[in-house]
Amino acid sequence: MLIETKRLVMRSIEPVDAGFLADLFNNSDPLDSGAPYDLVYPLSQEMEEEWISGIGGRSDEAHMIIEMRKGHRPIGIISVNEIDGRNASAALRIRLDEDSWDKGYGTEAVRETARFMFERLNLRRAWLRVDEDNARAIRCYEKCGFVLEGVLREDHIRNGGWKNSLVMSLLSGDLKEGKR
Amino acid sequence: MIEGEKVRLTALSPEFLPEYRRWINDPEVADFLSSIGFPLSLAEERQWLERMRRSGECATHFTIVTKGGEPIGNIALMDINYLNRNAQLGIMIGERDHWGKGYGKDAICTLLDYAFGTLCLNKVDLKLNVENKRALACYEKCGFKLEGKKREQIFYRGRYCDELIMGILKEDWEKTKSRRKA
Repeated sequence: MLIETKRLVMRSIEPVDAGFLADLFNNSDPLDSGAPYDLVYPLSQEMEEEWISGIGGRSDEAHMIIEMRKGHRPIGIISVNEIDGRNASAALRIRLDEDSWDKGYGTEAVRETARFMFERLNLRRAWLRVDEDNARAIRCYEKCGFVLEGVLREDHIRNGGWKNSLVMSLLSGDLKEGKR
Repeated sequence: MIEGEKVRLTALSPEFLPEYRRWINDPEVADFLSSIGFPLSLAEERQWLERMRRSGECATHFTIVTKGGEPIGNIALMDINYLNRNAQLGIMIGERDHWGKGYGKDAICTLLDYAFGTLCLNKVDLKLNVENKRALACYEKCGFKLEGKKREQIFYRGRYCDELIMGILKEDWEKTKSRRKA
């Protein structure tokens, strides 16, 4: 089912979204917490189409387009990865179009996706990895109730330097409620 | 095609895939569906239809269409067992503006006629979430009787809920029908 918030809808990714996703990953700042560390740039629309055709029907991960409820303009992508049913844990990843930063959309999307994971999928832990310099993303996760769990020392390269990642997690009882 | 009073039951069709996808992704429609999950893509919906077709299950899965030709939901007889002559019923009215108007009831009665009359089954049963009051009322109206309760069988909206099991026998159905005619 769709995951809906006051301003946003999270829906399935369709072949028509390939161009949007290629732009999203090619144009925005790789400091964004959603940047997969092994991503190759630049991405072509064909590469995205191929990726989209392969993501369906999996029980261990799901990917969604975040779009505006009004007008259906896509503004980002949110993914739930490494869904581990036995241990009731899964990883979250989000990436928003730069034009949609600083409006609370990220917090809204993460909060409602986490709620969906807890209330509908019976998971009890959401976790993520974020670049330690990504203050905007860290603030967003903290607002949702995520807490710092640890530091992955110099686990990735950014702009020619070795950078730390933070691991943060949210347990189901600690979700900070916002307006729905 | 099977004719009811308000609806007809037609074969599942690829032409309705956008509707199937919209229904299953509607949070209100999918609220009580047991196979709840992340939003489904058109490609995933197409794969579902393919699977139904390959397994032959589509023979007893139908799209509920109004007499005006509008598809409003799906209904199915699942796990048909010809030794014990029983099956399980599942239904979804995907068009919310058609809720509470008797379309579900008519679709169920039509399918029961087919199950008992054409397929000569002896019994049809179903499962539902105890919180699903609308469905419970509808099934009772169709003649289903409560058979049991599985405690905390379903995780629903953050907690465990009981699941009810209801059934209707061919004998019950014939009585209900003769009463309706009288």
